[in-house]
Amino acid sequence: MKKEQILANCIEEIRGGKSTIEDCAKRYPQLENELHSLLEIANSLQPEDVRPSVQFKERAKMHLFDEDAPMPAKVSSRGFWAWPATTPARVLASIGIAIVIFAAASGSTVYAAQSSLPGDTLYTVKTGVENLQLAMTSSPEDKANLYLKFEQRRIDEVQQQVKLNRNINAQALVTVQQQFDNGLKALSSSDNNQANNSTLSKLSVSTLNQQVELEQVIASAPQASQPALQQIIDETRRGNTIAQVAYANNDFLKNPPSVTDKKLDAGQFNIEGTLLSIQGKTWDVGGTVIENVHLNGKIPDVGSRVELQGLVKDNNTYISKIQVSADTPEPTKVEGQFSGTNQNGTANISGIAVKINNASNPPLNPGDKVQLQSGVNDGNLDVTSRNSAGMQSTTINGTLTAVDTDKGTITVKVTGSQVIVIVYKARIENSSDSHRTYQLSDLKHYLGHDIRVEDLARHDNHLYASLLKIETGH
Amino acid sequence: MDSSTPVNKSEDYLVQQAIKRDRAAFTALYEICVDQVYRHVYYKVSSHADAEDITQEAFVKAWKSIDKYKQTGAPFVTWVITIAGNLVIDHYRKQKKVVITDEVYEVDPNNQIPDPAQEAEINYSKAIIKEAVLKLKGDKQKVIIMHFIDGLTYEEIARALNKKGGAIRVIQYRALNELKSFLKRD
Repeated sequence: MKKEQILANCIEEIRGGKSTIEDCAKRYPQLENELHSLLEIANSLQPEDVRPSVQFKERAKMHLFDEDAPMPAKVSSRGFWAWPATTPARVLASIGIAIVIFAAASGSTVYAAQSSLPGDTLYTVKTGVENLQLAMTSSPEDKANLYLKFEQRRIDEVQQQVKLNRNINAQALVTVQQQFDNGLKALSSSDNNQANNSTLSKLSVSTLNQQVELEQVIASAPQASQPALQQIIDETRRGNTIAQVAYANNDFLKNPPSVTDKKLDAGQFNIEGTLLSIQGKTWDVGGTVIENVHLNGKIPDVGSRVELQGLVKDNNTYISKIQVSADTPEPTKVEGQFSGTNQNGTANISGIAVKINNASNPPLNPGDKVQLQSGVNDGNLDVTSRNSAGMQSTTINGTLTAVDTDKGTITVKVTGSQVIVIVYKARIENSSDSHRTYQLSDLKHYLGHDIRVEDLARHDNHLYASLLKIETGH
Repeated sequence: MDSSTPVNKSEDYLVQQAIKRDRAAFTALYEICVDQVYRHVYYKVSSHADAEDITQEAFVKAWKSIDKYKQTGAPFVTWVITIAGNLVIDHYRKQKKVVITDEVYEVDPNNQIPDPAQEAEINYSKAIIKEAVLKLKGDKQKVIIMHFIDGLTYEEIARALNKKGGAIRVIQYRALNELKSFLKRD
C-alpha cells in the first residue's frame, strides 16, 4: 500500500476512535517515525466551534436575492487597527487580543502540541507558546510561578518519555535546571515576601512529589537514561531544600541559589545545645561556633537551650527552624555532613567547624553523614552515628498536624503546606528508640510534634509511606 | 422525493429547482449550507465581521451564477465554499495583510473553561497551527481545510476539485509534510 493511502487510513481510524497515533504508526515499522509526526499534525487540525449568529443569518437571508446588492456595509470602524502594525501598543494588543479571541472561540479539544514531547514535531510550538507567555508576564512573582510550572512540565515529559522507552538525555537535564534556576532568579528579584512564600510553599510540595515519582521511574528506565534521571532527582531534591530554607529565611534568595550547586547537599545541619553567646552574627552553641547567622524572627536569649536546623552556604548560616527551651544539662548535639578537616584541626561538618575527639573516634570520610555529641571532659564532640555517603532517599520532615485513623492518613505541615500521606501500612517508630513502635491511633497524642516520613511512594496522585519516625523529645 | 435518502436526494432536488430560479429552493440550500460556509471563511479570516461579509457575498454570488452550476456529485456546499474561498483571496488582496480584529464574543455557557490560562495557551497553539495551514498554497490548503475543517470526505473533495481520490490523498500527504516543515522552522 502506498504511504499516502496508509496515512489516509490512519487518519480516518484515529478520527473514528478506532486507533491511536502510536498504535497506527507502530503497524508500519518502516514508516513509524514519519507517520507519527504527520499524524500528530493531522490530529492537531480541528474545526473551530464557531457558528454565525442568528441575527446575521436572518439578515443575510433577506439579501440573498438583491440582484444588484451593494457590498454589505462593514460592521465596525477599525480606527485602532489603522495604526501602523509596528506601533508598540498595536503589537502588544495584537498578541493579547489574539489570545482572548482564541480563548473565547475554543472548543474542549486538547491539542496535540500540549502533549508533545521533546523530539516531536509540535514540541517547538509548545515551547514557543511558553516563551510567549513568559514574554507577556512582567511581575517577577508571576514569572517565577510560570517558570516553576514549566519545570513541572519538563519533569512530566521526562516521565512520559521513560514510559515510551525513549532516552533521557543531557538536554532534558539542562531544561529542567534552567526552568528551576530562572524561577529562583525571578523570586530573588521580587520584594513581595508573601507572594514568594506562597510560591516556595508550592515548590516545596511539588519537588517532594517529583522526587518520589522520579525515584519510582528510574527503576524502570533504560540504563543509558539513568545518570541523567539521577541528576534530575538530585536537582529536585536541591529545589526542595532551597524552597524550605528560603521559605523560612528570605535572605537566602538574595544571591539566587542554583539547583546544580552540590554544596546544598553538604550544607544542611542540625545543632542542639545551650546558647552560650551571641556576638554580632556569630553564635556559640554549646562550644560550637556558627557564623554569619541569618534568622527571620526573634533572636533567642543567651543561656537558653536551642535546637537549630539550617543550611550553611558561602559562609552564611541560614536558620530554617528554631526551637527554644529552658536550659537543661543535656549534651550538645550536631548533625551534618563531614567534608574534611580544617587547617586548625577542626572537622568541617556542613560548613561548621566542630571540635572532635580524634583519639576516640574512627577517621571520617568526606560525604559521611554524622551525628556527634559533646563528651564529658574537654567539650569536644564524639561521633555517635555515621552513615557513609550514598544515595539519598526522599523524606518529609515536618510537624504532625492531623491523624485520621478511619482513612489511615496523617497530615504533615511542611513549609507552610499541609501534606496528606497514606500510612495505614506504615511502621511507626520513635526517632530516638527504634525498638519502640506505635499504632496509628497513638499518633493523636503527638500532634504538634516533629515527624519524619520515610520510604515514600506515589500512586494515583496519592503519597504513601511505610515508615514514620515520631520525635518525642519535646 | 425518496425518503430513504433524504439528504442527497432532497439537495439534488433543491439544486435543480434553484437552477430554475426557484428562490424558496435556494433559500433552503442557504439554510443547509450557511453554517459550514461561515466556519470555513472564519477559519481563514479569524474575524466574525469579515466572515459575515464574505459569507453573505458568497451566497449572493452563488445565486447570481446558479445557472452555471454543474452537478459533479460533490455536495452543493463545496461549490459555495469555492466561491467563498475566492472572495477570501480578494479580501486579502484588498487588505494586503492579515488584520487581527478587536472583537471578543461570548463564551458558550455549556462549554465552561476550567482554567482560562491553560485554555488560552491551548488555543494559541491552535493559532500557530492555523497560521501554518494558511501558508500552504493552492490545492494543499484547499484539501487540508476541506478535509479537516469542513469535514468533507476524500471522495467529496475529489469531486469538488475535479480530481481522483488517490490524488487528494497524495496532496494531503504532501501538505502535512509541508506543515511539518513550517512548524519545525517556527
